Amino acid sequence: MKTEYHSIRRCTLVLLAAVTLLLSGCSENGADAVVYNKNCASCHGRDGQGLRALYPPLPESDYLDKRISELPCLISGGIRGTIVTGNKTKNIRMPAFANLTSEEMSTLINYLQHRWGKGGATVSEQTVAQWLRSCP
Amino acid sequence: MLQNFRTPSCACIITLHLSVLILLFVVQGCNQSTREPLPILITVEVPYTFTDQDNSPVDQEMFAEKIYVADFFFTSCPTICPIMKTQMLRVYEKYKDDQRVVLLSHTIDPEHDTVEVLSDYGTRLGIEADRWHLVTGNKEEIYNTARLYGLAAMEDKNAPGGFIHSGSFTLVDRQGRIRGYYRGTEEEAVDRLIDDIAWLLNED
Repeated sequence: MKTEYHSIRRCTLVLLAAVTLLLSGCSENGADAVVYNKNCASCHGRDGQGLRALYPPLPESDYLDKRISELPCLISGGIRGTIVTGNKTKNIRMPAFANLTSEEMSTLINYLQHRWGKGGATVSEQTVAQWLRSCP
Repeated sequence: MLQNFRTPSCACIITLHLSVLILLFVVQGCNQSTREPLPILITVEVPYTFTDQDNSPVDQEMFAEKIYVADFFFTSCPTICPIMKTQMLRVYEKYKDDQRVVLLSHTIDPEHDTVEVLSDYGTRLGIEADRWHLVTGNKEEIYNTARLYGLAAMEDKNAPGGFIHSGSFTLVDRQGRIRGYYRGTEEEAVDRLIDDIAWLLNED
């Protein structure tokens, strides 16, 4: 009887671990990742690792967290020249993604922030639209 | 008596190990000898001279007696090129110290991809021009070259970045013969390319 109880308990624990593992993978491969995978992953990589000095890695970008409000304009307008992130100056060329809607942009910003930033509050579509209107 | 039977002797264990080793050796030998040779496809003769990121002329004579991998890309390509370059970088890292192997990437956007742009691109990628040539030149000649390799490259205003091109890597042997095409966006295909280069290096 005791053995049976232990066996059921062990099975439950294994199932819970599997469900947790599956759910943790959702933010990387689920709906939130679609905009990123379609527009960004070919250069920055599925895991945001970048490619040498050609495409910068995302986890070390201070556009996440500190300068998140600048990010929609940067993505929408692209970059051609130097940008300063942290204490580094980088010469970057990134195409403009002006065709992204504010809904797609907010989905993307939240995905970037939650995956490689420190989390932070979810940014609404309205906030992103407001940031985009004030692009230089 | 029973004890002796259950505990195998030292000589018996050594014999068993030796047998397994011999068996593995024989199986490995069989695998090597039964590998299908790479097909011999068309012979490529490129009559043009291009210019690489070091501003040096590059023509096919430089690749005589060398195994090389050719592809087509452009530096501002927002779709498959970054993935292709990530994969080509794996081939570069594997063979950069082997003078018998060279990589050759042609830009299909020579108006934008000048020698300066390619030099900057190569520097960022951390590659040496004599091991991996990024070449630019006359647009029509580059597009004709793509056709000679059996690959597609064309302008298309509706395509992302303004161009359409094949994502394949072409493997060319020391006699200028194409020996295989590999999807430059697929890690497994590039694994096969790396293996096939090793095989070609040992071909008589």
